[in-house]
Amino acid sequence: CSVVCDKLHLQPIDFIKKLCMAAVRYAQTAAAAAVQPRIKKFQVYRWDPDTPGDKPRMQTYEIDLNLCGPMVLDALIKIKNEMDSTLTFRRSCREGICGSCAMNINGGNTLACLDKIDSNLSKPTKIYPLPHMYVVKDLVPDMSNFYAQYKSIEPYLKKRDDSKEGKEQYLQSVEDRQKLDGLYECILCACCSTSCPSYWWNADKYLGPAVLMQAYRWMIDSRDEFTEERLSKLQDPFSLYRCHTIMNCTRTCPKGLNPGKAIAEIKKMMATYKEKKAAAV
Amino acid sequence: MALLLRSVRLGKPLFKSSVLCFRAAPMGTTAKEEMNKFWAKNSSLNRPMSPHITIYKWSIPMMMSITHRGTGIGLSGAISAFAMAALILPGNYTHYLDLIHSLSVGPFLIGLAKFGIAFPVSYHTYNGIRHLYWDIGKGFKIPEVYRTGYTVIGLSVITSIALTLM
Repeated sequence: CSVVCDKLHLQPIDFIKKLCMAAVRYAQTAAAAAVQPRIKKFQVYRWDPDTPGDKPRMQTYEIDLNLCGPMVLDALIKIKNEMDSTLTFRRSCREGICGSCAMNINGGNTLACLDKIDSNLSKPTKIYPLPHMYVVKDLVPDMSNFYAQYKSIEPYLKKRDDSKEGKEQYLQSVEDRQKLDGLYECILCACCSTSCPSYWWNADKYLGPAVLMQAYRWMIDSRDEFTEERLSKLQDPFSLYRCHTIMNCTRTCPKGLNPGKAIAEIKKMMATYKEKKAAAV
Repeated sequence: MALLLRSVRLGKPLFKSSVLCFRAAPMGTTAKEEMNKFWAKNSSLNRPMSPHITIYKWSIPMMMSITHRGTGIGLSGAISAFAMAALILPGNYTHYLDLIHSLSVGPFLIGLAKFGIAFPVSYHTYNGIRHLYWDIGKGFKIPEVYRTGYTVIGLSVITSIALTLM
């Protein structure tokens, strides 16, 4: 004991104290491992395209929350790793920036990696794919239409004169850059568009809140010179005007953005841009 | 523009090597082509549609929005029906007023009918003002949506009861 004390540069009394603390901690850890399991039920939408005649169904999985991370994505990964490797879903960054794990959890569209599991064990967690989308498999929707709609609004800087491209920065004042705050942060997860009943009924012709907010992002970018053309592209009954301010989009955005407001601002610009053009002539 | 450049560039070999790389067709699809492909592919594959109205969690703003539509259709239909009746049915207004008076309906049912007309009118009017407030770009933060929503519900109920008791 004295040899140990010398080696550790400790007084004997301190050594005894540390030994006691370690013993207590060991006992606590042993006790913790024997704590009651907290079983949570997860009801997940399943559909397999490779099983002929398969119908969409709900499958229930049980997870001990003591042995699982806090987010719904942690539960899904645990199910896939340990219980059912056929469960299929998209995921990537696990930190709410890539938008891959967008799905409908307990009736609302969010990112599974940001949605905390409700620790109330009496209610199951219900997981569905994004609403009113064609299902590729289990929780994976076909996003191609959404991406094509994004492509259609030409989401890039457009200048009248391309000759200066790449030579110098396009300068922007602090106030003009602030106009982009709350718009550029969109990760195109499609939670908002798939929460919109108008988009459910008219996904072919209505662009939806995500795409419209990005259209607005380019309209009010001071460096872009095609604002008027971008506005006139929405001049039909469907692309923009199927929005009836239901406001499901802003409610559900997992990044806290406000597509409903952006759409209202577009509608205001639509009302006056022709007058501005006529006045300028 | 970029699409055009890409298609032109790929028409000829890009670098000197023993293996020449040719691309005869232009690359890339337009947004419209991608959309058409999407609809063709999904309808032919018979994929299921993920559930929507049956699973989406209802909220006050969502219910208020559909109620605005419902009361709007109701009011529009009632006015059209009234107009058609006035045009087609024989007899004048006093004749039908006497007809309603002669029916021995209790005051409760009369009150219910009055409320049934007063509520859609007041709700649709107040929510209409809320819509106009949205049209000028105000009140889009979620707490504001709820605040204005509760105000509309409160005012509608009070006004409807007041009109019913008149």
